[in-house]
Amino acid sequence: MVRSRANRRLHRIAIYSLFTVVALYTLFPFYWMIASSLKSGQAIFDVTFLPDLKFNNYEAILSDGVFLRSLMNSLIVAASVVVLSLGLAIAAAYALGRIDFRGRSPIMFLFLAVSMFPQIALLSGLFEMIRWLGLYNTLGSLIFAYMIFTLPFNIWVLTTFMRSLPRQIEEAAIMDGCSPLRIVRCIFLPMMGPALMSTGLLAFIASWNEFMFALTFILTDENRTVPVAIALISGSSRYEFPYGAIMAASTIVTVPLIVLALLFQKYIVSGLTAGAVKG
Amino acid sequence: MSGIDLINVVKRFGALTIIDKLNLAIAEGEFVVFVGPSGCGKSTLLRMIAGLEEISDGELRIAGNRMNETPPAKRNIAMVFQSYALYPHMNVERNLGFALETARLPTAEIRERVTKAAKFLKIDHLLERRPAQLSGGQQQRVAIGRALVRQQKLFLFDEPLSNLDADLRMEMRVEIARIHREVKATTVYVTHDQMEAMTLADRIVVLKDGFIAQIGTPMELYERPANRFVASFIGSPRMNFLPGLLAREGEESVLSLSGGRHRLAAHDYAGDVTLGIRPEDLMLGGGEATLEAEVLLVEPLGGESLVHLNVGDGRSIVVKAQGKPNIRPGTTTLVGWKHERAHLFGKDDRALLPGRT
Repeated sequence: MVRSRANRRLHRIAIYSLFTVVALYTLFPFYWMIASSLKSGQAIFDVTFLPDLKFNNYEAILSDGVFLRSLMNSLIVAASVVVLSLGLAIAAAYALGRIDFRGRSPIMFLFLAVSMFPQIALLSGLFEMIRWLGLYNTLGSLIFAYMIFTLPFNIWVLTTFMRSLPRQIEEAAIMDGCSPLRIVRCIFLPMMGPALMSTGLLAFIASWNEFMFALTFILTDENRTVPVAIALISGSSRYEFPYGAIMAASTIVTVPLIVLALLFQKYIVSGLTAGAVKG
Repeated sequence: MSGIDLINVVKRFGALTIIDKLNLAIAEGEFVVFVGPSGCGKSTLLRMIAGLEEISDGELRIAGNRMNETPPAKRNIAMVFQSYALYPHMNVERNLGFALETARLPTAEIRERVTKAAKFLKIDHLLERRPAQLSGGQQQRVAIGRALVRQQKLFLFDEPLSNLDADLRMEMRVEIARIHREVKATTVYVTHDQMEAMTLADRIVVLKDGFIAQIGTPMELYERPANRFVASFIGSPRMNFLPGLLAREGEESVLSLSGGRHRLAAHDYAGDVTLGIRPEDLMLGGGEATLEAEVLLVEPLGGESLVHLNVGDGRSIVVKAQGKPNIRPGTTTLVGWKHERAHLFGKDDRALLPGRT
């Protein structure tokens, strides 16, 4: 069918206007956050869409030792969760994806079931475990707790990915004299690059943003992670709520994630679809 | 010594028996081809020799030593896979050297062996490339090279040419024959293509449903198939089969076909038989024994033609004739053969020979 010129133009306008609406809907909150962070004092309560480009909120928040400390804590927690959960998930995925043993699928479904529990349901039990392990009010408690939701997802994605790797390559490696460890390290890991990137990044984002466990398991300011630290930012008096500072802190926390996501965008999509579509 | 002995070897998957009490001895330096239709157990048998499948019962010996429990890497075997199974993230050089790297050989020696194998296979200009940047034929060469560098006494090929197109397949077939001639390793080669089997093998093992239907040199299998299955599997186009009745009459046996009666040397067997004659053994116009037939179709192939004939009862046979015979579909012709080129199969599909049951 040949479309008339006017028709084609109409079609294009429709697509672009839809695109604009979606972009506005998703990006406006970010824009508002950044714009507000760049206004100072009373200006924040005026509805103006253009920022003032005043950086005193950033100065304030970056000279705050507690906030910098919590930024560091978040980095430690998120990075540890990524490294630990990827390491464990790779080992589990090799077993679940490559070795035949009885009870494999029940185990897979158990993992899935674990990831379905609402966080709040786990909270009190997990709290007891953490106290018993002596991890209360340490970063270790958060690393321990976050693995509960990052591991099942990582194991699922990596297992399906591992299954999609050709069996003959593994057999060729066996004939070449590789131990299972060497097969995983030298053959599978490099082939799983995209899947590792995407699962690692998602684990990082999840641990970076988590709030409830971070609020519950940490008692003192110097061990807090960023989401809680931001929530607890308070003004000089109880009648002042420092919107500007909160917005500046949120921006600082969000930007690294956006940069990471943009950098690894290609891998995230290919990693998540690789298990599903053969080829 | 690097012969292979399979002694009463059994493979079961659960209650299903794939291979049942199979015996086979492969001599050192021999090129043996396992051939058979899909599902006949030929790949399973190869993988059992490689150590990728467990042996349910019986014994596998390599160079006289029991190997059932030996891990694949310690059996001194190199294997080439159907899908080539190259490591996609390594370049050709590392692919070739990976097994040696795993065995912790000195770098200089790895380099030397890789260079030598690459030269031998004419892939020395591709060493920096990744598998994805190679054509199918080049990937196949790398896969063979990976087996070569290990300098093993035993080579296993699992349908190595089935992913290639016809031209390349022929080229690689010649290449594999050359490698075997120069390396002289004991070779077991699995294929479902009887042409590859005929051209490459010292001996062919025809497998059917986990049993050995026949073992022999390519010409033995072609000239004297032990049963109807081997007869129809080896040779292209397929052997023609016609039903008949064999009866003893004094010092002779008489074969009755729907088109006539033929006197043969005495057979001990009497009863229903199947007559098998290869298309290339049939002649248009005459012979020691003849049938009348209606021409259905003439397929010229250039140097020769395939003539499809209807010999009555809706049975059709194929004749391979030289050049392009001057006959037209719809006409009637005489088709004949020499008795010595005809094969008779009894009710149990086993080949019948004069004087024997």
